[in-house]
Amino acid sequence: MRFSGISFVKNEELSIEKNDDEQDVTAIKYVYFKNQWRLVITLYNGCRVYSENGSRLLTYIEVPENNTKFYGESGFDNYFMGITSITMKKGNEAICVGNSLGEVHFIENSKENYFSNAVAVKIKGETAVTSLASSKAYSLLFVGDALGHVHMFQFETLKDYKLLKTIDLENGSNPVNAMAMLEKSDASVDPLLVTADFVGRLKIFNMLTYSCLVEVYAHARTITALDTSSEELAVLSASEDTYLHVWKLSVEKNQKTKLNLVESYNCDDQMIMGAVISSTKPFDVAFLAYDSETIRVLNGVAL
Amino acid sequence: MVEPKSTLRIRKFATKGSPNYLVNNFTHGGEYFAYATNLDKIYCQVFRISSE
Repeated sequence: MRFSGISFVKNEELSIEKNDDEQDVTAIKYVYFKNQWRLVITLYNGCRVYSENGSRLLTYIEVPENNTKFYGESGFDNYFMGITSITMKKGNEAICVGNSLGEVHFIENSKENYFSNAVAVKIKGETAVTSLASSKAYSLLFVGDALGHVHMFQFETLKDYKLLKTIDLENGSNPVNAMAMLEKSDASVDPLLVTADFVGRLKIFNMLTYSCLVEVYAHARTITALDTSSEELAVLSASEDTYLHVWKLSVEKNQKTKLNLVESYNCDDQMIMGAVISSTKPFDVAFLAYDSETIRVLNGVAL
Repeated sequence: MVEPKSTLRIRKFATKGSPNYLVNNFTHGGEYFAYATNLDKIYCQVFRISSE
């Protein structure tokens, strides 16, 4: 699929009324759930799940105003952030959203129009969830927190799970900004987790051995967007430093794993807020800057 | 350096407040892209990749 033909075909414009200036969007992400793409938006006080084209609100979580544990004394102490989906070992699927109480909500859809949600995980300590990722092949959920840790859970079912490992990114207790998986369909490479942090660093971990394979100071400022193209072991990173980088991981037997910079783009002194790379050839990159009115597309990045 | 070959102007929202495009985030799934802004309301545009 090429990105070059992006157009406002059958576009939907959603508008969500705000009760308060602080009730803003914290994240937006498409997740693959029950053979369909779903658009998930996290807000300060909950989240919303839409159909793929945004035309139908399927379900939502909204923390009641009288929940003093969530809202605290000032009224807006907490927020929702972090979006992914998971397939558990017994086959159940869930959309996962995190919040600043360190909880991960699982949204399930047992009947056609009936969605339920429950807190599946609460990470230890007083820290917020800042990003989520998952491995569908291994039923793993990765929970990144505000103190630079990644907690790795394996789910049999919603209530039957175990914490396999907590990894310290050793980034000075700064948040894990984004995570993404590299999983080749032929399983010729072990599943890899890419982490992006507040200080502009990328790390890649082997999720079977938990070893850190690569560490790169990729950006001078916070990494704001991370995406991967698994079959080519490509990583896309973008940052407040106005740069967008495309990397390719080389994994050869008996040789050190390397992350090579394939392509760079400087976005005219604008902070890049979102960037995506296509999953198949030709590899196109689309990105958007803060306060920009254009989506830009780089066609055919050579990997 | 690869130069952008294709650009798409984002539709301007009719807002009460700032005329800026305060893009919050951007995502892609299947045939669709979406992004969200934080203005006087939360706006989100979803659009499809054409087959051209």
